[in-house]
Amino acid sequence: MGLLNNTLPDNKLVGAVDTAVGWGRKSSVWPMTFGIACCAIEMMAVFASTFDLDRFGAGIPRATPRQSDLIIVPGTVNAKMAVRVKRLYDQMAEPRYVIAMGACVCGGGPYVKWGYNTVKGVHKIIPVDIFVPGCPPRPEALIDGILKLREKIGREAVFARREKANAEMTARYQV
Amino acid sequence: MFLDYHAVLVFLITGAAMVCTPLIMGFLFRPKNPYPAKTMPYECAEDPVGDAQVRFDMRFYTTALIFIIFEVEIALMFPWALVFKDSPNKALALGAGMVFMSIVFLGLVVDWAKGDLDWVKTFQNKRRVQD
Repeated sequence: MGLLNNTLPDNKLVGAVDTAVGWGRKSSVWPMTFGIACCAIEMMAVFASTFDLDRFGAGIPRATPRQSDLIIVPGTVNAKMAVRVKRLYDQMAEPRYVIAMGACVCGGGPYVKWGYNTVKGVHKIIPVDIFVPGCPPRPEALIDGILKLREKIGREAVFARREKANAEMTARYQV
Repeated sequence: MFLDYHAVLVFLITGAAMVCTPLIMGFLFRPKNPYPAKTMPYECAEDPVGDAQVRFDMRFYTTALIFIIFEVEIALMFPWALVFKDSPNKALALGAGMVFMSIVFLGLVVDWAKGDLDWVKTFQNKRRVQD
C-alpha cells in the first residue's frame, strides 16, 4: 500500500485527517458500469433520475475499473463470469469496495440447490463489503446499501494504524 | 541590479512548488499496489487481443466530416426553433432559417456530387494517372 497508509499513530490529529479523507472518499464513490443479470435493471433505475444516486455522490458510473471505486455485482455470477468479475475487481485501483446485489450474489439465491454453474455468493471470489439481499432488491434497498457503504468508508482508517478502527468495526457489526 | 528581479524569482519558485507539491503529496498518500492482473490492459476483463494501435480506414474520416455538417445544423437549429414561436416576423425568421439550411445543405450536395458519399469511389469523369 501507500507510503503513509496505516502507518501513523492513532491520535486525535491523525483521526481528524482520516475523517476528512474519509468524508472525501465516501462523498465520491464512483461505481463501475457493470451489470450481469436482472438486478442490473434495478441498478440502472437507481442511477436514473427517479432515485438519483447522484445525491450521494455515487451517480457517475465509470466505463473502466481504473476510474471506479465501487463495483456493484448485480446478478447471477456463473462460473464463466466469475473469472471476469475477479479480473475486473483486480483492475480497480485501491481503495475499492464491493456491493453484492441480489440473492444470487449474496449466496446462490434460487440456484443454491440445483445451480450447477452458479457461484454461490460472490464473496467466494472477491471480498464483499455490503450484501444487499432481494430478488431483485428494490432500488431503495440498493440505496440503503450505498448509505451503509458510505458509513463504512467514513470510519475507515486511512493514515492511522488499523487496530482500533478494526476493533470498533468488529464491536459494531459483531463479525 | 539582479535584486530588481526578485519578484520573478519568487514567481518561479512558487510555480515550481505548485507543480511539485501535489506530486509529492500524491506520492506520499496514494495507495500503491501494482500486480500483473491490475496492470494488464483493460478489455472488459477479457484477455487482451491484438495491437492497441488499430488502423482505421481513411474513408471513415470523410464520413465523420460529413456528419459534422448535420451535427452543426441540428445544434444551431434548436435555438432557432425555440424562439421561432415568439418571433415577431415569422416570414423573416423562416427565410433566415431556410437560407442557413440551404447553405449547409449545399455542403452535402457538393460532397454528393464529388462522390464522397460512396464507400467505393468511382472515377468515371476523372482522368486517372496510370501507374
